[in-house]
Amino acid sequence: MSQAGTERGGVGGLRAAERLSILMRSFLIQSVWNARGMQNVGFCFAMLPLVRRLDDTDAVRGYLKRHLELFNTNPALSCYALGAAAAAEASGEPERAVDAKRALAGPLGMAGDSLMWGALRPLAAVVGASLALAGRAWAPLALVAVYNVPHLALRARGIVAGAAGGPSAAREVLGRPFCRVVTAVRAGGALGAGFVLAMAVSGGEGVTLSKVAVSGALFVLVVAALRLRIPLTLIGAGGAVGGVALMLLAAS
Amino acid sequence: MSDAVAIAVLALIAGGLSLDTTAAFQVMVSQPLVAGAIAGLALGDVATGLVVGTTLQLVWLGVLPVGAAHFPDAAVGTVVGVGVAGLLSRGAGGGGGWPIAFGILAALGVGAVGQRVVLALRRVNVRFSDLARSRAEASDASGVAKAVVLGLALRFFCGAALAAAGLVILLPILRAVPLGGGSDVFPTALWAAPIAAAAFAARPRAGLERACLAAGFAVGMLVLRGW
Repeated sequence: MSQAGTERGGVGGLRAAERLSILMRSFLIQSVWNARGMQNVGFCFAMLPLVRRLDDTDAVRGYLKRHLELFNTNPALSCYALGAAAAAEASGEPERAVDAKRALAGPLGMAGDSLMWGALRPLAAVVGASLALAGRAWAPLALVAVYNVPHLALRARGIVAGAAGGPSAAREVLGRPFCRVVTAVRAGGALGAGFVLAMAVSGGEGVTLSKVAVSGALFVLVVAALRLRIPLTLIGAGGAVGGVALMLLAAS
Repeated sequence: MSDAVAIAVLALIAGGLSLDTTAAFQVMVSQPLVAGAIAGLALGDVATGLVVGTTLQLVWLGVLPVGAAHFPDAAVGTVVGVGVAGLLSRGAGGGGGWPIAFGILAALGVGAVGQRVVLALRRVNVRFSDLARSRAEASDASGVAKAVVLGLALRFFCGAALAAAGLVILLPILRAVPLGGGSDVFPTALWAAPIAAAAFAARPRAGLERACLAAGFAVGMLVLRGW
């Protein structure tokens, strides 16, 4: 990066407006997800605010090419990589920016997928579903809130921590305490799923032998089907067709 | 609201919500429960939107839109499902189990088609990525922004077109199905909840989760049955 990139100011040499712009653009990091470069275009798009600091075409070309290289991670935690790479570019160390991207993509992807998709989204979903089954019309808002409070906090934190501490700042989401949080959230989701199951069995006309038997048999069948790697959509379609068959039986 | 206007509105909603699945934001408005409520609100039938959305939320609980994974297009599928259920129930003279059952089946089918659409889009996106790269060679940063706009526009268009096509094709077919006497017994949550619970229990290395699942079920039964 040219010397224009070494302007001083803010966290990691990034001004507040630049950090905010990178944060907002990070929401589009998967806008052009593709098999060849994965999140490359989205990552480069998020890094564009710093292009304005460059003063010659060769520097712009090098900058764009660096950040159009293959990149893939969890979008919610991508801000740690964006912050670290942007701070390195701002301090005039492009090699360090590339190293930060390469070092963080995999670990952040594993940690983020595990927390956001494997734990937080199911927890938010069972909270929303249980409220909906209880007849609360605001259940969708609860789902969005349960997911997005930590989601948005992690994005905002990622930019600041990544810019201030570089790749090592990501340790806060890669260490053992973070794993314990993931385990606890997953356990909370499972607890909620059990509660939803109880709501289904005890709802409506109350607990009947037929409902318990049908629910139990379905549960065992679905576990077996999932172990055989049958897709959930196919299993769901089977359930819906079974429901239609029950209706036909009841109607006759 | 006529069918044509309803389909147009639902298509626009599906296009917008499909962006949230992976392309933009990912703030979970594309989740079936939220998408169902939004589509239901647009149709003036939030209750149907919530029933269809909750059921699909439970069915697709274990689906993870991670990295290069293949996953059903839940947002578009849900909007079509709510559209089918809501518009069918108008014709049938009031809600009931049949429109909801057909709506859920339509959602699962369209979701599966949407999965193929997403895979095709990701191949097209390679061209947008190439466009950004070629512009970068000329030191032109606007190519990156242009690729992002094209990627988002194509995703929106595909989501809207899939929803419109799904509703236009499925509604006349399902309206032609002769339904018997009104039946309200479609046991939605009865089969969707075991699927959701099984999705947790069947996870690899899920010892603690299985225990929590059992505990949640036991506590739920005790609380809901009044101890």
